[in-house]
Amino acid sequence: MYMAQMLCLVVPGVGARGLDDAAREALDEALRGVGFVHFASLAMLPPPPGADRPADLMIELVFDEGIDPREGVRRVANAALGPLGGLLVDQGPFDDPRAMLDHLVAAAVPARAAGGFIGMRDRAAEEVHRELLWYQFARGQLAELVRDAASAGPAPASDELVRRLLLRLAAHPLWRSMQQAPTRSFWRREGLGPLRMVAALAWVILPLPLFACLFAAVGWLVASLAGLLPGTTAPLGAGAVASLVLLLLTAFAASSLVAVVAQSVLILAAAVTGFVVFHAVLAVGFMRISEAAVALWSGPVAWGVAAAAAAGSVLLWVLLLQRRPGPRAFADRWLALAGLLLSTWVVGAAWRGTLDAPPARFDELAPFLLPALAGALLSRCNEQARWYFAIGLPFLLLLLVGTAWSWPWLEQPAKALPGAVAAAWLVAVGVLSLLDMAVLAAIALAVAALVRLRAPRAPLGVPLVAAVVLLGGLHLALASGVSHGLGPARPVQDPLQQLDDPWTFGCTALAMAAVALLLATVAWLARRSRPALEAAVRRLDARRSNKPFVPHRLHRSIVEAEADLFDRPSHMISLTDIRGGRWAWPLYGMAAWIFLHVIGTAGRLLYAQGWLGQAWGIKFGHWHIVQGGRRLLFVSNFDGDFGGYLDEFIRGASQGINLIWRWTQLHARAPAAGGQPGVERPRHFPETWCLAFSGCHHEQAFKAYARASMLPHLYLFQRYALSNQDIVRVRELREALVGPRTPENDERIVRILQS
Amino acid sequence: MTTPAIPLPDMQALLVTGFGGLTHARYLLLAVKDRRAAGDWLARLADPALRLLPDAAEVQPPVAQRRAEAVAVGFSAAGLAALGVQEDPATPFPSTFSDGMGAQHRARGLGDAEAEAWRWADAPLPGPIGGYRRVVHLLVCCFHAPGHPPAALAGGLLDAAALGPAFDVVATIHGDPAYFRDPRFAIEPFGFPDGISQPVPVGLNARDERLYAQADARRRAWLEHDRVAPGEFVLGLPNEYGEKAHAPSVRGWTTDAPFCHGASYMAVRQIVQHVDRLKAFEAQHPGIADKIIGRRRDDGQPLCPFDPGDGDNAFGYAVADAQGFGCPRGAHARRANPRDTLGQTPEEGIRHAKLHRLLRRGRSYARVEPGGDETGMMFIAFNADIDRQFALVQRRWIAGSRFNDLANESDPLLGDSHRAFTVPGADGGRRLQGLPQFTTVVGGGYFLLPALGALAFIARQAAAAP
Repeated sequence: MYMAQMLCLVVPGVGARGLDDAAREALDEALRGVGFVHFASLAMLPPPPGADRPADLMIELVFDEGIDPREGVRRVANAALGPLGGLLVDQGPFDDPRAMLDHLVAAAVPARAAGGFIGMRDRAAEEVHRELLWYQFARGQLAELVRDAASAGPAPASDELVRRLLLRLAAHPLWRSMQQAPTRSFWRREGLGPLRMVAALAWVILPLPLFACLFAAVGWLVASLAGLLPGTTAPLGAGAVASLVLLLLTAFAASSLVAVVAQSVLILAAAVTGFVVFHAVLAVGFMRISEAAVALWSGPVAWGVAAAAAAGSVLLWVLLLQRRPGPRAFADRWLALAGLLLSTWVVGAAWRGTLDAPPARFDELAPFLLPALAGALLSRCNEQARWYFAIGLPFLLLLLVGTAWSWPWLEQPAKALPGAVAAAWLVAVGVLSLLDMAVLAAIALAVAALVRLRAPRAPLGVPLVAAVVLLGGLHLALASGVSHGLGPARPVQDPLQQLDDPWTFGCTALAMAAVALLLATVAWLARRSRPALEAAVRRLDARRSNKPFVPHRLHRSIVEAEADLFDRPSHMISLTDIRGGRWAWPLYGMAAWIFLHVIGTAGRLLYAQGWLGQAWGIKFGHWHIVQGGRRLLFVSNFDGDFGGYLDEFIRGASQGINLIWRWTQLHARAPAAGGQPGVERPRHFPETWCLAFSGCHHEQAFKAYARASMLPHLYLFQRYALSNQDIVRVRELREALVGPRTPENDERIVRILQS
Repeated sequence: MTTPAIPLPDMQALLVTGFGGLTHARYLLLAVKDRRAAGDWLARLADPALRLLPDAAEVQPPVAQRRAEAVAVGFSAAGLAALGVQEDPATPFPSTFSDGMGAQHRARGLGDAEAEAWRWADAPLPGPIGGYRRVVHLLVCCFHAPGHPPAALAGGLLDAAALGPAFDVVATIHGDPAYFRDPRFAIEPFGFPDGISQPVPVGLNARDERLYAQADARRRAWLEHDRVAPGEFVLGLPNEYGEKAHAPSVRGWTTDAPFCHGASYMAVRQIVQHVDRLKAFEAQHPGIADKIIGRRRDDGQPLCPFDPGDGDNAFGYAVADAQGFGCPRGAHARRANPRDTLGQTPEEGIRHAKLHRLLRRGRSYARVEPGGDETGMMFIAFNADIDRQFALVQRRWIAGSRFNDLANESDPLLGDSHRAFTVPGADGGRRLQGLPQFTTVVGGGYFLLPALGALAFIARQAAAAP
């Protein structure tokens, strides 16, 4: 299946060319005739910095899904041979039409690889057109029916109206084709089938082994080098280095999380149920650290406590399911789940105590068994929860296995230390591991939330997808790499045995109390500090916003191009330079390239409905790195006007926008052609922090930057002048008309036809 | 960022209050004839009439007991140029303002297909047709109490003799005192209550602040829907994004605060209202006028379910009337202020809407010179970011055909004719085709309402003409 519907071909050195009306009409005719083109445009791009050549020509093409890009370009170019030949052969850089054709077909491939894309992806151009006709006919028929009914007497109920309507519609030539369910792209079908679940998991999890391999190599190298340091033994050095890396990772992940919270993205209310797993892992991690202490309870007392706690927790759960989500319910659920997990853990401890030969690490099963149980309970009333658990759990499995795997080498340094210090070391490592796990679990949840295909308005942004892939891979790979560096693991003394020493026991107990206090403090701070954090972020933003910015003087050609599209889908071409001087730009370009691919993957999985984050109205937005990697091209076909569109970006998709555009700047440049805008005043994208934040929140500077980067189109083809709303509405009508005749469907049909 | 203090004493008072107690109004559309004379005229404009009274007491009605008249002066970009005020290239005016509402390419973008046939605008037309439409440089708004002699307005400065040497009077538009005939609310020519829903710029109006402070929690929650950052209307103050609204500056301006600090952009449109057409249409479709406007004509109450105990402005559409069975989804009131509808949740809808609010200060008028009796509305709306506020509302919500999941419909009151209007209903509703054009825009422009310091600067700059 070809997903790359949005192509951009750049033909270098074409020079300033114009299109006359006849050529435009010929192009319109050709593109309409090809049938699978939604939108197309031509624009002149100024040559890249340092290039001594005339302007480049950009050809934007938006195809139906499923068309091979090369084949599509070949067919379009063949059909439009006349006007394109006029541009590129008669006065342009190619000697003959065949050379031009070959160049265009070849140019189609890199564009596919370089672009991220989002948009309404599963509607064929012809289908959209046919559905519109169908909708207009149905609306007219309903209006007639209502008018006739009004003159005849009391208004009929909607089921009667729909019955009469269907009789009339059946006479229409489109009736037969409209009886088939509308095509839906694989990622946009509703419901959670096993195939889609496996595919979604594969999409997100497959990169993990790749990263694992990469980081395993790094880990191996680090561990080997650490062993070579004078005065250190390999295990201690490797363990210390690995712990340091773990600490750094944790700090990074935790700060990302804080940043996310501060940005109000990780909103409690939006993910009340999802947080269950987060807290489950938190609780399990805590139990792991306090294992030694509570293990002293054994026998019937522990069994009794466990049974009572479990029963109480389950009861509480069931009762809580009836409550409306909210902070109170959230806190109660947390308590209930903690109780549930605790009870199971106590069961494990009691089991261990009773048999005296316990199955090792029984408690590690808890995070899988219990959230699954909780998930099953939740799923009775919350479809969203199914997604969290169906997709979040395998992630957790992966992450926790990674943690368990890494445990032996983290324990290695303990062997070289005195007993009390060793126990404290283990506790410290446990805390790190716990925090890391908790953060990773939260990130896994974020991914799970993102992969809710049915309503892809996830509360968390794209960066978290990148983070989970990176951290998950690191986690696994470090373990692998370091254990390679360590050689075969030596048997580790069970920390439990050390507890026979009262001094060690005291240290451990103190450490545990400290951990509990720390966790409580973190929880308390997280709750209390959110307003303060938000205020701090606002202040930080505001301080930056005090920097003077220069509003952009909009070129007349841009205003004119926008005015031409009044009440039609808007079109925007933005060309920015990759940041950095002579040496740095390839690095920045690579960063932009990576994030483009992250956006591309997210677009494929999540943003296939026209939403990007919470920004609505994007039809086809695509980014390409063009002109030898020196420039980033953004072309978008969207509903509404420019100002509102960028406001939607700022409000709904700021992290994604920052992650892409932060790698760019605007150098001064000459216009590509007479009557077109150049860039007189170099500009920078508004400053970001933590890569993804702030940036475009500086509305005025961001808009000025975007405005200054814009280019007008030379030619624009729109197969249909419909908004996303129009397209969705018509598709809904079609689905409702072929659906079962239920009162809900009848109401829906009548409602849809009142627009 | 330290929040800049609101420069109330330096601001023109119209930005703070609509002077509802001063029932008479006249709007002068002026073109500069002699720059130096115009500078002198501006310098002589009576200061007290422009600024708020020292104790800001006039925001508490009745105003008429405290002052007999009030004046406000706005300048189009062409007007500033005609008076010798040049923008500072380092902090220029936004292109939208510099180009003007009436510029061909801007008017097309706003859906003003007839802009070339307007009587006046803020920008010239190119070529020979440019001679027909008059360019307006200054908009002078004057409000006064009933007994106040017109000849004495603004110290006699609005008299033809005083204006003559400096300006060509493009038109004088006389406000209709009947606009204020009902003590409860203003009534526009179609007979509907006007100006019920207004954004409240936080910290600007002492009376609004007092009302908010005294409100109980429930009332306050409703008031919050309309409380908007002052920088949405006043340049240089923090806007809804928490940033200071860009305040341009001009050459020769030496004060620390920018030239436009405390200023605002006015989007002005002279709209003729065809009362007879609405009456005739209502005769064919009884009760349709309420649906077109989106409120009840008798008492201004909303058409959607609401709790009268909270007042007639405490309601939202997203939950109470999502389908538009009460207030049609394309009704004028719903387009001009979509309240909570344009988000995934009502709260988000309100946050969204706050980025696009307009502070209206318009009034109905009854007579135009030259011309004669004419019924219409002098629409004046303040905003700090024309693109994000007036232009977006006009282009997407009023003139645009795809507002709120509708298709091929523009504003039934202000949009062009031949469009449809859907009145949804559980019984299948009605879709009215080919609506008559109930209003015609005959002029419009963007005007800068400068702070008083800047106004004095403009006067000096003009008077210093070589």
